[in-house]
Amino acid sequence: MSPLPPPQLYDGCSSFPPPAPPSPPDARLGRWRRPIKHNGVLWVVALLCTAWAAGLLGVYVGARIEKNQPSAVYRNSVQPVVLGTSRDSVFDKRLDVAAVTARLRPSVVTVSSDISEKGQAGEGVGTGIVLTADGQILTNAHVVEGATQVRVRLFGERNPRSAKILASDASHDLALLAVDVTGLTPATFAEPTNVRVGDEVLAIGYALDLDGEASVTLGIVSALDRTILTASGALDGMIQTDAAISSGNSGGPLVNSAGEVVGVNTAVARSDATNTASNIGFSISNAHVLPEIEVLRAKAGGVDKPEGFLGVGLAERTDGGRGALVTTINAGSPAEKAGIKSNDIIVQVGGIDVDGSAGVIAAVRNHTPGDDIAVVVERNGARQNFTVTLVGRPVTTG
Amino acid sequence: MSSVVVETVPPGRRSRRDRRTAGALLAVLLLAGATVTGAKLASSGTTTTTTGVNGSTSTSSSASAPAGSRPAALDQSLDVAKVVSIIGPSVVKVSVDISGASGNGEGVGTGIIISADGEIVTNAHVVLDETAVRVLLPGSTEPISAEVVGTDPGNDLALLRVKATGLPVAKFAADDSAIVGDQVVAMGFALDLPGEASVTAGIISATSRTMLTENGALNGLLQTDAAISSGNSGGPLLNAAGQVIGINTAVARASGSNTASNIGFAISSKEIQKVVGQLRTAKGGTARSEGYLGVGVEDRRDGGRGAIVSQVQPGSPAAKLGLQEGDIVRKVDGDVIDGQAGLIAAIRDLSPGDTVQIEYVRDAKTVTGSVVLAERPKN
Repeated sequence: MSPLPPPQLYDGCSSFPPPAPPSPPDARLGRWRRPIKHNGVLWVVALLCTAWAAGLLGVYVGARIEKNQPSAVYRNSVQPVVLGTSRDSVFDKRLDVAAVTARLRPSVVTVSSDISEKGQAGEGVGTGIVLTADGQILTNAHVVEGATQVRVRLFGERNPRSAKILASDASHDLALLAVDVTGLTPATFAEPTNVRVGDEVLAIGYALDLDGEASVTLGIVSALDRTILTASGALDGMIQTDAAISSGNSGGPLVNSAGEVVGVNTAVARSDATNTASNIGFSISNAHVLPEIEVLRAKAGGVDKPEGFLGVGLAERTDGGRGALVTTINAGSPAEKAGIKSNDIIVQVGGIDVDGSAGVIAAVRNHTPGDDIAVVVERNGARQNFTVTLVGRPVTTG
Repeated sequence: MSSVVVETVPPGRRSRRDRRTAGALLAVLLLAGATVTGAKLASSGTTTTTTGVNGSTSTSSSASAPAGSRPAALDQSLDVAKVVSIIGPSVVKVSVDISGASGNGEGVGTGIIISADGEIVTNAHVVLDETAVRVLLPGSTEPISAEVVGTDPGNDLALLRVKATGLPVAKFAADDSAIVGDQVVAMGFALDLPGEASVTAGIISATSRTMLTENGALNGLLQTDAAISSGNSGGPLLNAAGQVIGINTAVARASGSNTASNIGFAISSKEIQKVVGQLRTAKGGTARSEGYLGVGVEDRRDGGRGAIVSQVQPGSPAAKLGLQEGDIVRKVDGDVIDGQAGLIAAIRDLSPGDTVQIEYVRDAKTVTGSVVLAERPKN
């Protein structure tokens, strides 16, 4: 049997980080094996499409756009996000890709930024969702992280427009941008509870920054309430999908059969030498997106939302059970005051079952300093309940 | 102990004979009492009795599907949520402490509950080099200890047992009810992500695939484009009726020169039922011995089907049959062989003493002969 000729692979993004070494062509699926040197964080990659180029190009493009828009106005919009109505019947409908694409496309934009990092200049490309008619755009924080200049290309336009980052929250990986324009078509967001495992969903985004319109890919909701660790912390309540998503999809919508946004595509699991990952993509669900939009709007107006702090170090369980293992307790922290100890396994925070350290981190962060929350731990095979009064996250270095 | 629950799905639009002549399927003999015979079932069409190797019996009735057709559910578009609600309670996480050549570590795979009193089937490679095996039942947070009843590395299946009663049992599809194009769902603990099992959807891309593994060869595999990942091993591939049609076992991976996208392989329901029966027997002390022909084989490189004989062991059944280097073995017991893996698996699944009919091609002439298989020599 002769091997197939290699297909032409076009990669609009540069290889960043460098690709994994080639693996054997017919690797056994294998049980999942805990990677030896690192935890899960490394094989979940954010989906920004980056190309590192000579610095001049980015500067030039940026300058040209600035000239074109000498007196741009970037509003912190107060227009409400458009919400879908309750629509249980939608679950039973097949997703009409052409119809959903036609409905959503005007609300999906390209976000490109000039990045300056460690003396290198480059360009990153992601996707954004139109939130309001008056120019507010939602995207991932990592799409515009380190950006010296952000541009948005609207649907049907050939040239990008200059955009401003109104507010960005790395820990929730969402950012609000503003473009000086009116009359845009805002996307409709689904009720957060109107998504379930098995729903057909469509991902729309500028995968690999390919020429032309956004790519659309079809799949289902594979799981709900996933938590993942990222470079900036933990994301929880994520939707997992088998719709194929690629670099450049970051910040783009995951859409249901009614053409409503159910999540913001943010990360994808990647194969490494030991494990194979096929079509495991993660979207921030509306349960987090909708409140976070309000937090970002407040932040753009100068009001910051403080996050709760428990004061524990965490590790993953390695015995197949659920929860997260407490490894250290910060002196004087709320955890210490409440009586939580090392080797406790935290299984519930604030009445919600948690799994994995990312789950605990995100559950705590979603509460506010001063909140009394119930924490349930497994200790020596028995469950114990604690009430913890959270404090604000201390300012630390490193 | 109950037997694997096989839902009575009439065996389809094609008779067993048709399937064989259709060519793609490799011959796999059913063990005595392991499961149904096609022709009879098709004509009666309503009830099947499956008998476990220990003599226990379970009976189930099919919906009144007309003889000669598949259940209507399989021809409707698949309702993922419904399938998940049927199978979810029977899908478990299998976590393993490993100590072996590749060092110490932990592995995670998936398992399927096949009897109410705690039998779980998974891949043999999930529990390879295990020093401890634990099972996390759906809805619980604490794993329970599991015993490895038996493993069949050649067929990559293992039977586990946990101390439990009243467990929800997965239903298996009848042999060969899966056809290319069927919508399917894969369920499993992909990447050991925190939380519930992942669910992915796709279709049957091909049937009767064969592949070489570290422990020999697998045949009769279903190929699917449902996305499966590390951790899915041992988990179910399901049809629209929520029946297990296969156990997800392997996936093709991209290499330096080739790209592989969503090419997953599942061991078919038919193989699972046969091997589980054998593993239960093995538990009683009678290990199964594999058939032995005595040839070295290579894949054809000209695009044709079959396997090339590269070596013949003196005194072996192959030598007695008159096989020579360069012969192309095309069929075993009337079923077309695909590649060296196909031949290896077809012979392995037979037993010493079985008479096997081999069709091979030499100098563009087709020759058919029969020979009695021997026992595999040690080493």
